[in-house]
Amino acid sequence: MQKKNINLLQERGAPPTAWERLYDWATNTCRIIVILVNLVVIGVFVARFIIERSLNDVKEDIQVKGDVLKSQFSIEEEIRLIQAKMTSYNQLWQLSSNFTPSIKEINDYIPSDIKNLSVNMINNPKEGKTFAVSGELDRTKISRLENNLKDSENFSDVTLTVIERKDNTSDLFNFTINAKIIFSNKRESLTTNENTESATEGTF
Amino acid sequence: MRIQNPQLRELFKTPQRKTYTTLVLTLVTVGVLIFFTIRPTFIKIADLRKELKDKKTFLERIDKKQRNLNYLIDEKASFTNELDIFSKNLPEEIKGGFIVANLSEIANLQNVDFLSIEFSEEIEEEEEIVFDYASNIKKVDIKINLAGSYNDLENYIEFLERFPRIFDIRNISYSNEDLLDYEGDLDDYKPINCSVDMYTFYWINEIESKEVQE
Repeated sequence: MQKKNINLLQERGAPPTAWERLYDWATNTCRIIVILVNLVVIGVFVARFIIERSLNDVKEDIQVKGDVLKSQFSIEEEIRLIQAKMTSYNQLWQLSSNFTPSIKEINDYIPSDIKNLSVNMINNPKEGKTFAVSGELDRTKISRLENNLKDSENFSDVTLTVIERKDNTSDLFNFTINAKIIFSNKRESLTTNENTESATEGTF
Repeated sequence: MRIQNPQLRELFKTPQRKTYTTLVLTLVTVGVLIFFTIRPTFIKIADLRKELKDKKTFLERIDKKQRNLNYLIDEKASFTNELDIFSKNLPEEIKGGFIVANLSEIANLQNVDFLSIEFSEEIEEEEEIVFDYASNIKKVDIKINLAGSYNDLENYIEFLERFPRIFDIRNISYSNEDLLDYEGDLDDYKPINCSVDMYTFYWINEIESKEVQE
């Protein structure tokens, strides 16, 4: 019968040298690192390939769509022109005169029996809108006209500049009243003037 | 494979030496890969991504412009009649005949006598109001003389100021003529003589073309 030895002590070899540890590291950890680096290299190249392909696709898209846009250049210019004209038209419309309310109000105040009436309304870009009204009336009506203009919120600087008796036998006085018009220059929108457009349709 | 170089053969003599040699070569290769392949490729990828982002943004702008243009083309097609009328309201030439015809027609509508008209393109220098495309707008000075009743002339001025072809009134003066001083036919008597000085406008095409850029 063969004799069996039982060793309860753990076997212990000599501690590994630095070279042996390096050897172990090289055959285990380093191998994994090398594989990972290779995988990274492959991954990076794949990523670059994908990005370059996307970039080329986008460039082709830009080329195609740019060509389509270039082919529509004349239409775009035409639309730009229409837009520019519309903008200018709107601005001109807003900046243009709006004498109608002033005329209506002044005519409401002027007595119907006035003689030698003369009204002059001026739209000056620097000084704004002004008007001068002159004629022959009796003193009371001149005062009433002056007061009406002074009381109105739509006129300012109302001044009776001239007043003189026409002749010794008459009750009439020659007068001149100057004033500034402070009506808003804002005009109604053109779209509300359907009657105007339809009325002039035939003349175009 | 048998290694011929004796120095190399010495290097691969033992398995351990062989491993160390391979290790060194591998580390050199890894270093070369990192510094000459991975790093430049990462930089290149960063550049490509930036370029891709820019191009995508540009493509989005092209798409948006195309959508807007398509929308405007559709709108233009659906407003052909209105645009035709509009182009008559801001024409590209004076069109004096149309102005006379329109002013005269308005006078007929308002029962006002249209006595005379005078055109001038020589505008006295004054303070210009600045607005977009002002250089494309050309003014024409028009002076008209009218005769009618207060109400009719009021209506005429109102009509003129609402007229789609813009008339910017600069000066209105009117005076009445006494019936006692009137020498003509009584049916033709119009108490008010009115003079209107105004501008109308037309468009000069001087918009600079802008090329569609890539």
